[in-house]
Amino acid sequence: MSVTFRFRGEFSRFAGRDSVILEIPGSGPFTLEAAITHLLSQVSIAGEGDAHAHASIRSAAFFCDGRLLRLQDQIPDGCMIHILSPLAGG
Amino acid sequence: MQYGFTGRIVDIDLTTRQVNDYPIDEATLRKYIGGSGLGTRILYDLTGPATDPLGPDNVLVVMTGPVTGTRVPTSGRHSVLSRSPLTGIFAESDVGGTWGVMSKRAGFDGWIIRGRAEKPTYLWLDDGKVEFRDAGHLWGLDTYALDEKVKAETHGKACVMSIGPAGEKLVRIASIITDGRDARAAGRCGLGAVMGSKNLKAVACYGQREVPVYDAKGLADSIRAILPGMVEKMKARHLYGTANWTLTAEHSGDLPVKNWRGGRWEEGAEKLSGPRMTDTILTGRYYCAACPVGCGRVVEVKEGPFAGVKGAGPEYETIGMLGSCCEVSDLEAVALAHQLCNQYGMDTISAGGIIAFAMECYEHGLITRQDTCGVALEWGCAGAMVEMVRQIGEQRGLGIILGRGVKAAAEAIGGIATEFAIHVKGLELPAHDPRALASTAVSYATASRGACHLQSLSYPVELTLKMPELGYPETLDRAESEGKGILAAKMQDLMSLLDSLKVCKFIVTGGGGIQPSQLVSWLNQVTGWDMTVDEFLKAGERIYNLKRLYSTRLGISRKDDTLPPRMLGLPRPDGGAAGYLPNFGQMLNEYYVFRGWDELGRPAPEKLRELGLE
Repeated sequence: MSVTFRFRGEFSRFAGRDSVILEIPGSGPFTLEAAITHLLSQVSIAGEGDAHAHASIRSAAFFCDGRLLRLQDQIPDGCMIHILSPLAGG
Repeated sequence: MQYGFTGRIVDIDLTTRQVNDYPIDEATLRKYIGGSGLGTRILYDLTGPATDPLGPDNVLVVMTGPVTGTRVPTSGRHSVLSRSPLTGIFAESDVGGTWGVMSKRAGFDGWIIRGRAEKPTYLWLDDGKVEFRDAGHLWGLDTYALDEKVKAETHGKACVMSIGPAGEKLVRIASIITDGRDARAAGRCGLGAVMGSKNLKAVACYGQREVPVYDAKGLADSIRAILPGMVEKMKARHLYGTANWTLTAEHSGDLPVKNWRGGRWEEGAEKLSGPRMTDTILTGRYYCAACPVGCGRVVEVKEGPFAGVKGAGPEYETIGMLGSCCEVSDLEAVALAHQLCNQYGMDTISAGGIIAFAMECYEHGLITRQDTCGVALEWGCAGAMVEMVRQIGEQRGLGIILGRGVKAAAEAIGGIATEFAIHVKGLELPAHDPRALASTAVSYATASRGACHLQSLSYPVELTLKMPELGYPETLDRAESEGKGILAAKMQDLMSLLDSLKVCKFIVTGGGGIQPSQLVSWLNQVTGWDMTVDEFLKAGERIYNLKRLYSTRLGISRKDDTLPPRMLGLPRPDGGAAGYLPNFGQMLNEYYVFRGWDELGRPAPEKLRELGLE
């Protein structure tokens, strides 16, 4: 199945790009957790291997069609997932 | 000796120039902790329904907390409380910077200011002494210039708290600024006007006393164990500041756009985002005392139409209100408006809300160029937005009416202007949309100072924040109304405690991940108390209920615990929260029941007995 990740804010810096389209092997359905694991195995994160960048992406706010996703949520084929800062302003 | 405290609160009467100690016993300290809690107790006892917010009978209470001045992370804070001239009700503001620490080093846990000086005055608190000084030559100065002058007259390392021209002119959204060009603000509720009404231009303090800590080694060990992980989790806040939230806010539908009528605004949000600020105008980062994170921005704009900016940069709230809420996407213009607000001494949140309101009035022909001194007050016009800040701060043109706050301005303009006045209990909404995060609706409606996101900060639990010790091991669905009244109440109690200890909320809600048990542990290590988590949380509930009692004594009830009609009946047109409206009535009922308040929103007698507030 195909998933588009759109990196926003600091995450575009970590990934060095604004978005990536990934083909996840297998029939699915996949959880967000599985998709992120695949993402981190495929995409070179700035300072690859840097614990902060990886940990930050894992704790990001993930949105799909305006819905905030949980790690255990299943994601549909062809979806676009926005990766955004989780740290509330104030 | 009481560890954690200097043991001295001074009661300063500007009319008589009398200075007395205001004694507090240890039992009261345990019940109200310090900061906001103790300040509320004092305010409740010294003011009431007959108090004129701008009269000499009103008091200004400035309080530190038991951990202020210790090594507890982010503990360099203080509270300012009074009866608000903007809303007429309970007012408080929580401030960062360095003032709190310096106040304790000078020998003061807090001070109460009452009366009215005969002529412009400033106070010099020097190592336990209080000195009244003439401020005639300082009257009219902006807060940045004043900071330098007062330091030159007192001590080069003194901390200065001051008002600008807005406070002098009793602008109802006037703030109190500390730390000069680094500009930390007691922003909300018009506290600067209270100071101005007392002819008090500034308070400077300096001292080198140590805050006594009961278990200094235990505290140091605990902090050493926690700090690296906390800093790592908050690294993005250091890199990009609170403005990093701008993109998430826009995407989730939390960002105010076009006086809360808009929805999607991605291109504008990108231009105002934290990373964009870092790439363009950022020159440094500011750390409040004892803060390991450094989320404060230092910016500079050297050229172009908005040149002249140098110092504190805009936070997310400022960007949301002076930027997107006015559809202004020019970051340099927002930075200049932010600096002007600091120099005049005005709340950026209220200023942005009022200018967005005025833009909507202009769109509907309720005000014209004749009213605005020739300014075309159109959506997205950065120059017009900046000019309105100047008119409010200098009290000329339309700024005379706007400076009264959005509620009073709407009443003065008349017609359907009240439709465009977005406030709760007279306080303009901050930059979070209750139609995007359900708990925000009931949090705003029940906040004791009016529309306030900080007195609850419940919405992070609807995003990514887990609070297992409060019963939230997982995050909640942001669109679900059930349970959100309870969430708002629990978080209000916890935030009351953070404001009383005097630590920054970000160590809990902003990525730090600290839970209540850790806060109690630090409190006990500092004070030598044996407080349990239950006793600690009960103190938070007591403090919040006392704030409510202050309001109900003024006639506040269910009729006031509501939201602007736009928030209850007009969904966002598109974007991340399109079409959604919170089930407000359900949440408010749940909130009252959980709180032990009656159907009119009054704390029931049995609840007051339980909390020792009868």
